[in-house]
This record gives sequence, C-alpha cells and structure tokens, in this order.
Amino acid sequence: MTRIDALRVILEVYPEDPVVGTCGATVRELAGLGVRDSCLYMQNSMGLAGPIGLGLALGSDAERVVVIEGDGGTLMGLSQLGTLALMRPATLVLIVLDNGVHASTGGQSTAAGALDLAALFAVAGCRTARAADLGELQAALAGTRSAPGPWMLHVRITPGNAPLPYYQEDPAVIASRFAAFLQKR
Amino acid sequence: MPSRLGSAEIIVGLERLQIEFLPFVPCSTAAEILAHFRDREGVTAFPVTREEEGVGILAGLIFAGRRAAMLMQDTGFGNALTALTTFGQAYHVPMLIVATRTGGLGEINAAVPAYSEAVPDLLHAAGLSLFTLDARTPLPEWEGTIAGAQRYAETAHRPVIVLADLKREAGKP
Repeated sequence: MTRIDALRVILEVYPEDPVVGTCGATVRELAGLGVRDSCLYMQNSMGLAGPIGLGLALGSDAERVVVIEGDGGTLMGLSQLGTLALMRPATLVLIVLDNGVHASTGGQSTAAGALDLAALFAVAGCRTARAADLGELQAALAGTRSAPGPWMLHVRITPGNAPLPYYQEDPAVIASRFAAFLQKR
Repeated sequence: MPSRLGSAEIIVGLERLQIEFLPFVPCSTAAEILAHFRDREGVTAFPVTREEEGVGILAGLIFAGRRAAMLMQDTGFGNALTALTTFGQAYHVPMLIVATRTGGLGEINAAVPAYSEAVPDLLHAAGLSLFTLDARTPLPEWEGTIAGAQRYAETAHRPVIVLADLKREAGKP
C-alpha cells in the first residue's frame, strides 16, 4: 500500500471532517488529492500534528478529528503520549502511516521498527487497529467511525513518494481556510 | 505557600480573558496561579509534557474557537521555538503564552542564568512579540498587560508572549 493510496481511502471515509496532515511528502500527496478546506496542511513543524489534533479534539465539537502522521513524526512528537493518556479525547483519530523511513528526506531509516507504536498508544488508553493493505485500512477506518476513541491506527505503507510538486501555499491562507471551515460546521 | 510577586494580578488578568483551557508546564514561581486554575470551575488546566507540544495543543484549541492560554517557564523556549515560529507565526495563530522568568536577581538555580538571560534576545531574534513584567512594573499594570497581550495577539494574528518575573526579590537591593 502506497502512502497516496492510503490517503485516498482516509479522505473517502473522512471527507468532511477536520484533518491535520503532517509535513513533507505526506502533505504534498494530501494536497495532490485535491486541496480541501477541511485539511490543515502542515508545511513544517515535524512532530506537531498530533498535539494540534489533540487540542482540536479537546476544544472542538467535531464528531471526529483526524491526524495523519508518519512514523518519524510520531516518534518526534511522542511527548504527547502522556497528555493523550491524561485527557483521552474520544473524538481523536490518529493515523500513523509507517514506512519505517524518513521518506521526505531521502529514505533514512527511523527507529519505529524497533518498537511497537500501536502497543505504545494502547498503553496510553487508545483503541488501536493495524492495517497492512487497503482492505484492512477500510475496515479499521470504519471502526474509528463507529466506536469512540481516542483511536490510533497503525498503517503499514511502502517507502517512497508520489512524484508531486511541493505544496507551497501561504500557511496563513491554509490556516484561515481551515478556521473558516471549523466555524461553519 | 508564599505569595509571589504579581501572581494575583496574573490570575485576574487571565480571569478577565475568561480562559477555558490552560495547558501548562509548571514553574515553582507560578504555583499559586496553577493552583487557582486547577481548582477553577469552567477552566481545564492540564499539564503538557513539553513546551512545543503545548504550543501545538494551544493552537488546536484556538482553531477550535476556545479561549486558551499556556503557562510555562522561560527555560522551555528552547523546546518551543520551532513550533512557535514554523507554526504559530507562519500560520498566524493568535496565541497567548505567559512565561515565568528565571535567571537574574533572585534566581537560586546555578544552571539557568546563561540561558535565561538570553531569552528576550532569542525571542526578539525569532521575531516573536513579547511584553515584560517584573518588580519594576507597577502591579496595577500587570493585569492589563495580560489582557492587552491577548488583544494584541488577535490584532497581529501572531503568538504573543508575556515574560513575567514573579521572584519577589527581583529588583530589590
């Protein structure tokens, strides 16, 4: 399963829900599937997508708040684990696309293969599910729709990036559009 | 618990803002403020593990339309600067951070002066807006500075930091 195929399925299940997309190739592919008001496209701040989604889930009345992270970003933002365990927002769906490498910077390996990320988030009180192909991902996403979280989906994807241009929209415009989307809901 | 310089005024300032959420990384000099808001009905005051994580959570709360601020100590800006600049600044998030000052007159920790004394210069160099409260600031101005900093964050569409030195000894001979 490639990243862009996984992203396409996630957006099919969550077409009108707030989505926070991590930086690098992920946000490039996320925007490449069509720029949406519902997506907060992060151009930098690796590791921060999870905490932003956590704050959104704590403060918003959205039925679900989706965070799309990589394995490297998840490890970088791991301090959120304690806060997540403490606050446990039921609407949060954290989806970790794990390819075992920093695909945006040349494919250097991450440390994610040395530990079980899903088990880590389960200890923190998350419902977890694992997916290694598109069918498993669709089933896991359906689970996140029907049962309260916080959820952590561990999704195994292949290394590599879709050949797409950099997504260079003004971050202030991205933020303004996303804020307006949240207010209109 | 000994009363800290300006604590009551900061509490009143944050109360005026009617904050609903207060993520924090604690500081001994802010203990009275944190105790007040942890017991305060209608306010969710909760610890975050690291300051950059707090910046992210605070941003999410603000996107969600909630009234929120973060409390931390200034030694944490080393952790928080990337998040504040690449997200808070770049995405125009109007967030208020109240940071207690370490270092300087009245400091009891030998490890912090070199970093703490450089904090205002670091924040200025990063283009972050900041206001300072210390023993030289008349107490009646503290409350208004907190409220004014929040208004300025909303006007400037940027993070705004209030550096507050709560060490009563600061500025005394």
